[in-house]
Amino acid sequence: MAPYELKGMTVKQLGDTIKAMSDPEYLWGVSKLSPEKQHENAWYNQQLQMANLQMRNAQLSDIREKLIANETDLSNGILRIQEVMADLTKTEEVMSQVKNFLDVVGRVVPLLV
Amino acid sequence: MRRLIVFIVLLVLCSCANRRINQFSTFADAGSTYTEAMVRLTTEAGNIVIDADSEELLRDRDQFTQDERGNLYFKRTRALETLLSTIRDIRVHTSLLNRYFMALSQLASSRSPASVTGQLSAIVTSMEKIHPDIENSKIGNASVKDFMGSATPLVISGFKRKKLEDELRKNAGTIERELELQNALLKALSEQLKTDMEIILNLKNYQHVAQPYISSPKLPDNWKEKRKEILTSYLSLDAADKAREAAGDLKTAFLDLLENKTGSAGFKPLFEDINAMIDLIELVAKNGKK
Repeated sequence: MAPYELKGMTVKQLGDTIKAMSDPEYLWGVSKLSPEKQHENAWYNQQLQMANLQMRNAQLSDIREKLIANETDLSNGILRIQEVMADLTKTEEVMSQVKNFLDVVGRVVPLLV
Repeated sequence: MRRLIVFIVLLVLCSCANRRINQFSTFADAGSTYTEAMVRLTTEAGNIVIDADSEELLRDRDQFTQDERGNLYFKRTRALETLLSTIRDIRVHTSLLNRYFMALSQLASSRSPASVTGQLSAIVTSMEKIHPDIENSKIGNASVKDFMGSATPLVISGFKRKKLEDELRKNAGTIERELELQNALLKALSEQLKTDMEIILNLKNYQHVAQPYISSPKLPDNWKEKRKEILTSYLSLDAADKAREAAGDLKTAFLDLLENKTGSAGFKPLFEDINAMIDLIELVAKNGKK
């Protein structure tokens, strides 16, 4: 896949994930989690926003090599996150896939520390 | 007999030329209506983008330490300022386009002052100056450049008014690019507006409808109305899909007019899409106030 396509797909997935994590069904699931898990979810939400921002603002020439090096992990991450988002009641599974996806995106653009 | 035929031919040509000049006036009116709607849309987009960002910040505020809040707040605010600055540039570009259409309408009329040509050149120069920055900007998830189409080859058929024809031969190519830029901007802006509105509606839906229903011992009196209002607002977001076509229609109408190809439907599709823009503005304004 061409790096610009991979960048576009990643940006789109980040945006779709942010929207899904504001869905009332998902938010209700989060409200039933422990305080630690709720904090973790909030952190992922902010990291997604940051990843979305960094990825959009990055010049393709600056991240081209990193995109190519992480192509398989990014594509797999997008697929897994799309699968798990089909059922937003599985809150912790969604969180787990979001974490994995953010780990990969974090290899391409800097995230919050 | 020959004189009569020449007279009839002249009459037909004259009436065609007048019809075209009238079409030009209608087009200039449509252009002005579009630009007014676009200026309002950018104002509402600016408001909604701040609202969506504030909702996101507040949603998780309790989950973070003061250091984390500080870090998040300043990063997000800087990003928001960049976007608001782009929106301000779009408004300037749109206002210039409005001035261009008004001057063009004057040029199409029989008694246009000589100064109009100079005004048009100054407006075109100003648009060309801000074009690159806007084209390279980003709106939400989208880069404006990604929505830009390639230049359309222009065919300019003769006009009855010499000054109008000269102006179009000189600047129609630039205006085609500026209309394409508006097309890209409107598409990117509508997409971002739709996303922001969906996030705001999701959060309102959870806070005012789902959560009270699930966990409050007593529901607020207006719960049913609130639920209906939010759920129907999701449906109204379809206006964004129709509104995003308005600038593209404006460009098509401009090109058709240059080529003398304006069909029997005239500018009806263009006005319908501008109305969808106005519907979208009202929806966004309504949800922003609550």
